[in-house]
Amino acid sequence: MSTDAETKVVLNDEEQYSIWPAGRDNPSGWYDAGFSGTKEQCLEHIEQVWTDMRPKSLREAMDSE
Amino acid sequence: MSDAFPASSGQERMWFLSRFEPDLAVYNIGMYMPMAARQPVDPRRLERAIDIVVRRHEALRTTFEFRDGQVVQIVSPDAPPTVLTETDLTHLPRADAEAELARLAKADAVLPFDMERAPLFRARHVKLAEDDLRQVIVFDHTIFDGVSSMIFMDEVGECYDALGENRAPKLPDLPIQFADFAVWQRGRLSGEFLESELAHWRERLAGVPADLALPGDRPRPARRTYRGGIQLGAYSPELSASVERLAKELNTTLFTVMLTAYAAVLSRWSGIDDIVVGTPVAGRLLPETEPVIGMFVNAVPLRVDLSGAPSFREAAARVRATVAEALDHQELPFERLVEDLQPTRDLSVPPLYQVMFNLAIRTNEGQVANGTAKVDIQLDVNMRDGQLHTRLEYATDLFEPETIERFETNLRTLVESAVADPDRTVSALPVLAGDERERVLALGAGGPEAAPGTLHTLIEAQAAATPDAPAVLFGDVTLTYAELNGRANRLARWLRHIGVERGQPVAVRAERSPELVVALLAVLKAGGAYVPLDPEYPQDRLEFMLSDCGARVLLTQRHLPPGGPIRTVLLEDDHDLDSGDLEPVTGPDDAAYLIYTSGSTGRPKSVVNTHRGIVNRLAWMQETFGLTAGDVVMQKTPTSFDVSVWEFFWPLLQGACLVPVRPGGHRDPSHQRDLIKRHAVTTMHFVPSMLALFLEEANIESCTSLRRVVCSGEELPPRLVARFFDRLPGVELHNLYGPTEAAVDVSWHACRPGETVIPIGRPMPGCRLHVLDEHLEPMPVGVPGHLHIGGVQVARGYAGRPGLTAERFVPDPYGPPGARLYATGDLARLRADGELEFLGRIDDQVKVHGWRVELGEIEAALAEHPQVRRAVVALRDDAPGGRGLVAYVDWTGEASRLSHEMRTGLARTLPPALVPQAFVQVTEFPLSPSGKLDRAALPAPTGPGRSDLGTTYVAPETPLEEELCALWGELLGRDRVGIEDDFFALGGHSLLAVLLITRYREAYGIEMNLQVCFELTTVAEHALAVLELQLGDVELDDLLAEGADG
Repeated sequence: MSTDAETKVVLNDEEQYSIWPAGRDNPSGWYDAGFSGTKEQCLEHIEQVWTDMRPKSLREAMDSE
Repeated sequence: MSDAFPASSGQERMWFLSRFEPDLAVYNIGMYMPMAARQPVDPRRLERAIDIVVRRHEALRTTFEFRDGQVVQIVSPDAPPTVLTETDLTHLPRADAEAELARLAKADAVLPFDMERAPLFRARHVKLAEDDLRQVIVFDHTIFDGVSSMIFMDEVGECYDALGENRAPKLPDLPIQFADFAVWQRGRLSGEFLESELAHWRERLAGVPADLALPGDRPRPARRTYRGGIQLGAYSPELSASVERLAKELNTTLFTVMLTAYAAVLSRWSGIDDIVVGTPVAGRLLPETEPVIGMFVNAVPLRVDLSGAPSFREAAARVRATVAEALDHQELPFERLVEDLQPTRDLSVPPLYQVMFNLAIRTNEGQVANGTAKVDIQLDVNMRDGQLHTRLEYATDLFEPETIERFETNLRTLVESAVADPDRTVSALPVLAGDERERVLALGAGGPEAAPGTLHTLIEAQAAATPDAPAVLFGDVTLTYAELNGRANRLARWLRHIGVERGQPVAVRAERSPELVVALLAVLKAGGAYVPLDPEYPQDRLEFMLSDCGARVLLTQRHLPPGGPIRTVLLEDDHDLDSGDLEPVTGPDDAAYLIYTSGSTGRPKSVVNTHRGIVNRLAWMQETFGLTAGDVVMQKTPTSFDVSVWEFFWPLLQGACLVPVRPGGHRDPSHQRDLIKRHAVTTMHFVPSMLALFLEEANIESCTSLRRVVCSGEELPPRLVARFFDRLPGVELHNLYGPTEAAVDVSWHACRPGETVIPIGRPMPGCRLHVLDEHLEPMPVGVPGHLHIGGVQVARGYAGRPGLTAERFVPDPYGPPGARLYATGDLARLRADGELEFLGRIDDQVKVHGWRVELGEIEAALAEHPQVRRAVVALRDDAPGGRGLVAYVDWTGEASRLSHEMRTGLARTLPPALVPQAFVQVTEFPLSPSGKLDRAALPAPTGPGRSDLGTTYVAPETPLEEELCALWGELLGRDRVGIEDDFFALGGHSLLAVLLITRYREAYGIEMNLQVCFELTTVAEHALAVLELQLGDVELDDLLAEGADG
């Protein structure tokens, strides 16, 4: 992915974060997280918001113990 | 009386090539004569018609000679009458006759001309039937070109008709002849005009890549053979019309649109966005030259700039401007440009550009291919009868026909894409049609994933099944499965007791021992994920990892230094707790282990791998190798390297026996050999660097228990594979590939003796390997791209590094919804047979003097020498002569011979730019703790590597050397030439080499082969060669030996 192209933050059902070109349709199972910018800004944003890196299903299973 | 004129520079170049490659007719122009409307053709009348045309055009009466250091064209006032070679094929069935005609035509076209004998054309008259007489005519390019062929055909047709009608032919006046033009051109190309043209091109071509390096089927040979193949194609009338419409819409020409598309595909294949394409220009700017036969054609480089992600529309506009500008500077002959810009000869790569493009105005239908190629790929396009016809001429040195077929299909698909959406970014225009894209993606997919599970429950099941079988053998200690499982259970209970919970990282720092195996298993049973810390790591690295991974407990051994402020459990202590299996708290998606990877930049980061991933990986291994209870697996990989994960757990999942190597023993091949023999080891792993050492160990033939060796972690060189099968015949060798970020390995190749390329193989079940471009679209078969891994083995990410994880683990367009792909940072390509080839790290691609260099390629070439045990090449800023390549060679020969032997050896197989600037003799290579080569720790290239820079003066020692030094100095215009000086470095070039040979002939009565001049380049080497030639059959070695005795 080009570094100067505008990039967006996306996440999947497991609430795992990644980045994707802003102008492109998301691959199936990925949703806009509502943040876009340069690649660096997006990664910085993810650094702030993705605080629990366990997949959501595992997190829920562990929390329900 | 004949007249002699200097040859044009283009003629010089062709003449030179004909001397250099006397058996190849690279520049023959062969064609069928268009006489269909004049059947039955009268051969006598045709001969007379050709004679009239020959009398009109001096070029058809011209031959060439080398006189006084230059090539001259000799124009003869009269020519022998034309005689058609006549062949009667009427006895053959029609189809056979056509085939025979094609064969004869090709035979005529491949036969070189003797440049000193007129005429430089040959014609054949073939009778297929009484009313079907065909003519093939072949010219030497030195007297002819594309426009000449139209002139020739028109004039011969008119003369033939006129003779038949008994009238004078109507032919245009010829105000000048080719030789007049050549003389005029020589005058024009001097002084200010020449300087300004050279200056223009110097600026325009500054920094062009020295080699486009299209991905071929074979590496470039050190010497081009000029052998070529042809691939013909035609676009549908619909697509052809669309291309013309697109040209109109973009306000440009068919030439520009097709060149843009061609450059786009070349860019996709080469990974370069600065593409230089040569194109022929008629070279008939003066109106007087228009009706004249001769070699006027010139070639100009078109530098197509595809940088900055332009749309097709924008790219076409750039191409249009480039073409216009090039045409303004088209007079400078190509060879003058080469001499000026690339004076050092490189016989392996076509100079300035490696690809050509041409739009044929008239039909190219009648051409006869002569089995040669002037450049790597040349695309000719031609619109006729409403269809765009393509003709690809390619170097068979590099390409298989199937590869060029793919190139053609890629081009057509890209043209379709551009027609559909010219505003799309060129780099995003599809080159793969839908079904081919699906096929390529499918090639990257392994089979279905294995049943999920967790490592410890699988081992518990095995322990229940074979409690008394030996699980771990270490020195005199044996742990049975029941003992191992019981001890691990007790330790796991203790870990839970002190607060270890599900998902928690638990650090393990221990030397190879039974306790280490117990510790890893106990962490998993407790519900944690183990974090292996190598006891050999420096203290500050250990401290960093301990605090970074977030472990609250450290399992270690008493004799190791303490780990600081962390709850520590000593593995020597047993715990008086229940030995039964614990209630499992983790499932397949829980983390199993965290392993640190260093990467080239930044601090180390730990990769979180799941039970599901590693269980899938081990299931593949079992499915493929079928380990049994009788197998013994050596455990020698440090725990910090993920290969150790399969070494530990695969045997324990199958009831086999694990044999840990003593601490430090992973670096000791003789110890490994003894251990194999002592415990009848059947299975072991090596990184190739270590395998190389093991294979040089004495007496490994006695390791008869060994059944399979698994390699991974570095590229596996073919030479090492050959050595392996040489020393360990009957043992299997497997090459595995995978990053820590995807549960150890994701692809596999079973090596076979005699392989010259060792691929990384096919994807394992549950894994997908895709070679993708920057838009995550699949690359065509054979084209390098960024290797991405999908599937069940993809790791969860980097612990505590969300940004980095998001960057490297990206949305997977080809997997189930929400899946992620790991971007490996590795360059790879998919072969047509579905196997993958690893091509290096994307970051590691180094550029030296404009060349993209694969260090591995040079290392492989160095290793060819029988006295080289191993060679490593590094790009260093401290190389003698500035930033450049340095070779580190484990050399068994005489130290003083290293540089010379390496240089002469490499000169035969590699382009000069790839020959290292210095050679350093080493006896061992620095290895990292995991046994991989540590390039950063290679020594600075001082000492013996400096001695042979070619710049110091070495005085002649013999009278012959003195004479040669003087002769070279005279030819090259230098005061002082030393015996180690390089002919080409001194400014020598191809024509001077011919002159040199002439002088040798005069002075010494010898006939030195021109190619020798390119292989032997110093005075000292020439002196020997001259001596050898003078002596003829006498063995030089004998003579020298006698001299020494006397």
